[in-house]
Amino acid sequence: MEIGLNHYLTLSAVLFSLGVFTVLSRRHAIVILMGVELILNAAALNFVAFSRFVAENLDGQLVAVFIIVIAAAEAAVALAIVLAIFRNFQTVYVDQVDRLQR
Amino acid sequence: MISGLIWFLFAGVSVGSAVVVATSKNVVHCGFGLLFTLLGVCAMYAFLGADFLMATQVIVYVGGILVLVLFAVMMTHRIESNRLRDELVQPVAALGAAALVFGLSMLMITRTAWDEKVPGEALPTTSSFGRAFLTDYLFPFEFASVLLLVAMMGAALITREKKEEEDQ
Repeated sequence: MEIGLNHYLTLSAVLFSLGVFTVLSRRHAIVILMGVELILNAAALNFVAFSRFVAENLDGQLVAVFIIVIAAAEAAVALAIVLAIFRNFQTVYVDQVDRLQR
Repeated sequence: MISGLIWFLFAGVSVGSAVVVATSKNVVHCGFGLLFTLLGVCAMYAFLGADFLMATQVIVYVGGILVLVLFAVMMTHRIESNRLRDELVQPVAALGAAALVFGLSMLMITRTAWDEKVPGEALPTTSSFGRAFLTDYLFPFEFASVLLLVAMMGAALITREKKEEEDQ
C-alpha cells in the first residue's frame, strides 16, 4: 500500500486533536504543556509532509527546525514559570492559581 | 507493502501514546507517552526522507524537552501529596471541541485537491540545511539563536530564589 500525503495529514490531524483535548481537559500545568508539544509536533509533521509531496524542496523542513527551536524555548520558559508558581502557591493545578500575589 | 505496514505500525504507536498523554491520570505516564509519540513522529520524518530533522527531533525533543518536562514533574510534587495525579476535567466539552477540530481538519483534507507529486529519491539533507541557514535563512537562524539566549536567561531569572529581597 502506497503511503501518500493524505495519510500524513490524517495522522497530523489526529495528533493535533489529541493535543487540543489535552490542553482543554487538564488541570496540571505540565500536562497542558505536553498537549502544546503534541500540537507543535502535528504542525511540524504537516510542514515536512507538504515539503516532500507538494513543494519538493527543503523549505518545509527548515520551518520544522524553527518550530523545534521555538518549542525548546517555550518549554524552558514555561517550566521555569511552573517552578516559580509551585514555589509561591505550592500547587501546579492551573485552576488553583487565581491570585496575582500570595 | 511492507513499508506501508511499518508506516501504520509507527503511526499506531504515535496515536496510541498520544491517547495515553491525553487520558492517563498519572503525570509520569503522560510524560512517557509523550516520549513514544515523539519517537513515532521521528519515524515519520524518516519515512519523509528528513534525516537531519529526525536527528534533531531525537536530540532536542527526546533528549532535551522531555527530560526537562519529567524533571519539572519530579520537582513539583511532594511524596505525601497526590500531585502526580491529574483527573480529566470537563472531558465532554473538551472531547466535543477536539472532535470539532478533527472533523473540520478531515473535511478540509479530503475536500481539497492537493497538487500531490510522486516524490523522488530521498537525498541527504544536512549540507543543504547548512547552506540554507547561512544564505536564504540567515536572519531567522540568527534570530533563533538570540531567542534561545533570551529564553535561557529568562528561565534562569524566573526560577532564581529571591532570598535577599525577602530578608529586607
